[in-house]
Amino acid sequence: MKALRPLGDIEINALADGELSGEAAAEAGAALAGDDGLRAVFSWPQELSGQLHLAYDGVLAEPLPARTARLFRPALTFQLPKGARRIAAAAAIAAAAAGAGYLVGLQGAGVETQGSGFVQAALGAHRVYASEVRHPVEVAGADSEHLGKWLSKRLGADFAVPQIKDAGFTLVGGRLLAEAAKPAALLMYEDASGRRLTLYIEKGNGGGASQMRYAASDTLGAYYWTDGALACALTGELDGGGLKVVAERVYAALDKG
Amino acid sequence: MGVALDRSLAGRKNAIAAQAPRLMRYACALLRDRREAEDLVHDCIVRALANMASWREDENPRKWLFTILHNVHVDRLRARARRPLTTPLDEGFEVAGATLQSADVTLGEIDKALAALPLEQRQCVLLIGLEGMGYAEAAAMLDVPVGTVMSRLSRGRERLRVLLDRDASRATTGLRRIK
Repeated sequence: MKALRPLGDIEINALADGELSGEAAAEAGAALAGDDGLRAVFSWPQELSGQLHLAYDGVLAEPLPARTARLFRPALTFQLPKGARRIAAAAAIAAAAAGAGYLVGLQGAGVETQGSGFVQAALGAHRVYASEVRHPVEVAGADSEHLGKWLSKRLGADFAVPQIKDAGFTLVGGRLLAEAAKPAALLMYEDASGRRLTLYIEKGNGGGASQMRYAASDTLGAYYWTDGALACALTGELDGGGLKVVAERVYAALDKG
Repeated sequence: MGVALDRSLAGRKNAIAAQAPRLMRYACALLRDRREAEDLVHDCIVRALANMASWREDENPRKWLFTILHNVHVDRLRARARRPLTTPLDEGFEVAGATLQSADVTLGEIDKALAALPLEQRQCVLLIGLEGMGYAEAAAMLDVPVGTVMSRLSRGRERLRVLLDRDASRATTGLRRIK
């Protein structure tokens, strides 16, 4: 006898949720009037909803976990000239081909040419200064020759400030750092979209030249090397192969200078 | 053309970021395990960012994202069912029951009550009662008929009412009614 079936919880819930209209709503409303049990069903959704919000709305104000927030950061991309793009592709293929061995080779080689704190210092300096809006550098990059001379003098090692405009990054400027009581230089570069790379330079320990190594921490990656006279680390956000290409350009520019 | 596409993708990315806290709130209430909720939302956002092109212009971002969250959750449950219990890959991915037991100690009354509901009822209670979705939106998201949402919602709410001891005498009235 379907027609005689009394209104049930489903209809009353739908009425409470504003999902009924017209005749159905009127019918459900009328059924409520004479039934304390149904009225209790009717008022419960709102009370429950309040309790749910009380229990869980705190989550809305919390920051996303770092690894999830990282998904929204723009990847570092480079507008490279055609030739450089080929090099980038080749570097990416070489890295992929070497696979795990590549990483182990770089990070676990055990031949630390510069103190183990060197890369940590470079990553730390990048974190501190790359996010600085008003005073990212001590000396602006307009007079890069002067900047190079000044920092060379303070470090006690000669170098010319490398230019990487052809990789899309212009020199912002530089600053002198005191790292473990030794002077160090930090040069900063920026692309058109405001993404920054830093080049950290210390005087080398006079040993032989190293191959380029790689270290990563959180979202940052650093390519670092030494040629004996200088120890350098180029730091930026992680990406496919772009950072390495720029690091190679910096290496070549320093070599020439 | 490339620029216009980028801009619209950036817009979509922002819309996803804007929904992320709501996804997290729902996941926390649904799973009542912080780490599992974070894993679920993370995987959901990875999938959403990889599939931004499949998002139709006229589609509400919340519905699109909650649907992805639901699908990722279903996939994770399936994967967990397949995984042999003798080789746990990650201590955080515990069998649901085990996680609940340890969580029970610290969680509030409403958490415990939610834990007692079947997953399907919990989804409906939370999507409508916490997220504020309409029946049709919840049904589309869960890929079930609206009538199914209505009955799951009604049963879930009634169970919670009894568990949370609101007018428990009504429970017997309810049983009589069904006859």
